[in-house]
Amino acid sequence: MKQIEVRNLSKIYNEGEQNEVKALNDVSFELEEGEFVVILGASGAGKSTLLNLLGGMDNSTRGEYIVGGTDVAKYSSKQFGSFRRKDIGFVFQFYNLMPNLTALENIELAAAVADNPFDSREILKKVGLEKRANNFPSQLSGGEQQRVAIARAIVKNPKLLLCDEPTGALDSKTGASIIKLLYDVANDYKKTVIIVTHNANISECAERLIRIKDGQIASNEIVTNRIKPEEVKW
Amino acid sequence: MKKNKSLSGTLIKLGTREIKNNWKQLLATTVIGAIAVTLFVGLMANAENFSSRVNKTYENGNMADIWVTSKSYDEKDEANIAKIVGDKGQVESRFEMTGQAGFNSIFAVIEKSEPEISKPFDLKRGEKDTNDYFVRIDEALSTSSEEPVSGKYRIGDPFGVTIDMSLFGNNITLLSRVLKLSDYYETDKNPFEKTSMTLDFEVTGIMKYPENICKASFNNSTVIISDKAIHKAFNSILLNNMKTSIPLEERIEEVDLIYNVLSELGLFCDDASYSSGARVFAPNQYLVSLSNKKNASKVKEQIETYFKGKRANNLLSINDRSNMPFVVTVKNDAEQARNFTFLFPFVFFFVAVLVILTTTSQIILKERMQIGTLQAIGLTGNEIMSLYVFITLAVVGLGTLIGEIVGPILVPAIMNQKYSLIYTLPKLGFVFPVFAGVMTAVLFLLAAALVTFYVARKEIKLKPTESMRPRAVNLKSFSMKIEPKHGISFLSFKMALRNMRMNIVKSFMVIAGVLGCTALLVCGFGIEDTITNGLDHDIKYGNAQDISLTFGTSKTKEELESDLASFTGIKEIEMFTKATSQITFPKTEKGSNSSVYILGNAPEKSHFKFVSDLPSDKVAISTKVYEDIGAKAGDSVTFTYSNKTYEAEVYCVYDAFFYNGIIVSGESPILGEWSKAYSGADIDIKEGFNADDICKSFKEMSFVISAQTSGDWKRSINDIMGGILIMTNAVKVFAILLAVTVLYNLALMNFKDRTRDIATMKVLGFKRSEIAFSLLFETMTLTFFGVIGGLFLGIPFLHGVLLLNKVELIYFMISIAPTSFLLAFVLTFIVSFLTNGAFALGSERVKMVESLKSVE
Repeated sequence: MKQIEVRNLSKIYNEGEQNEVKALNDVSFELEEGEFVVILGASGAGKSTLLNLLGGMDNSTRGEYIVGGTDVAKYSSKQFGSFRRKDIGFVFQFYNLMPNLTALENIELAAAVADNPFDSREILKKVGLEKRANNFPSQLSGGEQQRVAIARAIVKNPKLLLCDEPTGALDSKTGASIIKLLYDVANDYKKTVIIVTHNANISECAERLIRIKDGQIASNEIVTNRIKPEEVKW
Repeated sequence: MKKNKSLSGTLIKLGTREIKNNWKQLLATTVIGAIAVTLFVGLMANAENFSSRVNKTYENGNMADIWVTSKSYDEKDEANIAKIVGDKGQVESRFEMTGQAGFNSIFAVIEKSEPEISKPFDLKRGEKDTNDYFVRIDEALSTSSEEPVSGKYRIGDPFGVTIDMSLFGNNITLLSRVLKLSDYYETDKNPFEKTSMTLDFEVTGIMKYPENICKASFNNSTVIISDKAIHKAFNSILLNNMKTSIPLEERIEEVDLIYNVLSELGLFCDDASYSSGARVFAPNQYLVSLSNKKNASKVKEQIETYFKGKRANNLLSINDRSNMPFVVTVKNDAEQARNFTFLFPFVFFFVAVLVILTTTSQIILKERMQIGTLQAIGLTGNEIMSLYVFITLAVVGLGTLIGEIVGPILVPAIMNQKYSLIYTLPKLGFVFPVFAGVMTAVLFLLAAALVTFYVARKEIKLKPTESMRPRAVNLKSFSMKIEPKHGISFLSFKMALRNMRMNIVKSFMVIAGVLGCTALLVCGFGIEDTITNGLDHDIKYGNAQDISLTFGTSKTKEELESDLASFTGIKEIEMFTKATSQITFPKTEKGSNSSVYILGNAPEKSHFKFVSDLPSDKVAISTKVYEDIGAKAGDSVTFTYSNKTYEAEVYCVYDAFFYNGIIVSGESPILGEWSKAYSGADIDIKEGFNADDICKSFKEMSFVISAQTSGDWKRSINDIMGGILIMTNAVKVFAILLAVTVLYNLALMNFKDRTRDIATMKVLGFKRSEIAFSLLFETMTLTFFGVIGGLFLGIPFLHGVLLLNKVELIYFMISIAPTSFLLAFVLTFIVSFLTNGAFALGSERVKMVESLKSVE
């Protein structure tokens, strides 16, 4: 069952001007529900721009972005807000946790805005941080912070879990554990996960691999020899 | 699945921790909020406190609601007024006259017995004080000192009240002649042949009196004397001055005859005699006290109608509380206290809003990433907004709470320094101005919420991706190339300039904050300058003599010269009279309660040099009087002196600080045939003699009530001005507090804002001084512009403050010394430099690794 249809989606900065930048140019693809997708591309390829559009964090210049039969690209700012609130879980490269909230409270914050959230403590346990519930982000390691960020994203019970370079700020070992966590979470909760990365190793455990180059889709393939995250050589 | 904790709970927790972690930055907001609310609510509390204490005084003394003064006695008046008042209140009669007690002008109120309306309270009674025998002075005339104090009295002290013979009217000349013919008195002992009569009493009590709560030296005191005491004093003066060779019985008969004549003249009651216990003075004033104060104007109107309906209308004046001068003066002061609330606090309120604006905008900018993340999580704009509004409200609310508590305690206590010098009021109590307090809190919090909304709205409106990116810098770079010869300072300079342009709102706020502080300082120094210059001006023009004397009874120059014949060291004597006077401009029907100065010497030779070229047939009025009544050169005004009214043409308007009133030459035809007896004299001493020593000798003379050197005079004026100077110093302290708070806040923000820059500069090898220069250059440039603006704004600000803070009898000749501008400039600059310098030098503490780490 198709969960996402992206048709000719473009994001152009300063369109028509001398300094026009086509961050995303005529991108089209479709994703099935529950897919574990990796979008691979070099720095500046347009992958984060694409993820931002998919997360309703930015407006596209043109094109369609259909989620569950509705063209999200045409949403107003208010509708985007509601879309992010109900349907999207976002994981950032630098975690973006609220520094003044504990691990558990960061998760509770997201749970509080969702319609049908999971239990915050259960999710914290799921990411293996039940003992760190009352620690502030500054008291957690990078990997732990990213786990909290993942928990915060998943607790909302979103349709889509979007991860922007989730291992970008982490060492390979911790990065691997984070990918495994995302992989497990996707399986356990049957969530569509989209990971944007420049790390080709991650793509080995993806169900679908979309390569992006100069703002365009270079390839879109189902990974046939998919391996488990713990088998990936980092 | 279950619903987790509520969003509002989590946001409150987040907001609380934000406050905790950013307390240094938010402290300024709390402090400035506390200062603004302290001042605003405090001054409101002061105004209410003052009014309530005044009302309490009126209540304690059951002050009259209507005063009816008649020109002549009519025995039917009291009964008819009582009939009009009916059961709505009560009526009492009394005799009121003006007089002198030493050098103090007094109102003497003669009561038949213990009054019920306008009665003394907090009365300290001596042994001799009874319900029908009393001589009670108000607190302003009294002293608690055990040693004698010039012009002040204690219970048991002899107390002479000098009344001008004009009180008895022109017919007294006839009486004097009759007495002369009857040969009962020696020529110089006939009391009716003199210009004044001194009745001797002894002080029996010290009181607070509702009709005279003003105890300033320029105000007339009130003395309440019972009929029995007046009777005894009259008997004494009439009998004891008669020739002792005449048998006592015969003398008593003669005294009875005098009483009889005075009764015939309508001054004394019909049955007044040497031995009669009846009333001496026939009443000339009726007091009405109403149970419902709202009826006052109606009853007043009915009484007026009654007098108008009489064949011979003997009504002199009728006043209610709305136009009784002493009530109006106090009411004006209460009004002034209220008006004062709307000037200084508004400056603080304005600066407080600026500080909130600056602080909030900096916090919002710092938290762009957090805002973006919250948006990405799915929080709505309103939910995010509520977080920042909560933070601001909590911080400002704390300041407001502090202000609401501290203000009503602190400010009335400070202002009471002024009031206790001028008024006799009940003890200072705690009054919380409920309406003002609630409205201040609501308005202040609303302003804070609106400011936060304004600042946060722009950031929250951004898309999450925009919030999570560094803020776009929309600056065209300078066309200045950085070459090695320019050095690092040039780069620092360039960075500072760009920072100012990039944070244009913040730059504006720094300027506005500094501007407000400087204007306040200029105002504080300006008030002091105005007072100092006023004193110097009046000492130069009005106190050129070495010593001023005030007499118990008026004297002619010849009499004084003979009294002082034995004195050595006296160079020159100028006779001088200063007396209270009502100056009126008939054209505008406006009046001014002021003073009349009668010069003994010709104006060009007088010590009183305000108008040296005053023609003898004209008068000069002071600027204060001109402002009160509107008369100018060429206009005709009237003035009262010693119960008579004179008319004269104004020659000019003169500037004076303290010596406000009307100047007239003693030789002037305006005064007509007058005794040329003056109430005081100005003395110049010869070189080589000590003014203090001579002054001490003068004080020992029985007829001298007070002797003051020019130094003593300046000290006594300084006492009167003490209250204002306390306020001035409070303004200066608050201005510096404000400057420290505002500049601390801005310096802290600037420092935090540039922590990454500082760390980067350190990494690049910048020296501490070079980093400090870059930081200081920015704030000091902005401070400079703010200070310049503040110096200009301070001038109209000072005018506004002094306009709202008018003091009875004093005219502010506004002036600000150049040194005051310089001091305001230097002080603000120093505070700014020290505050910013401390932060700039604190760059040493910035840890490079932590500051340059990515967002966590």
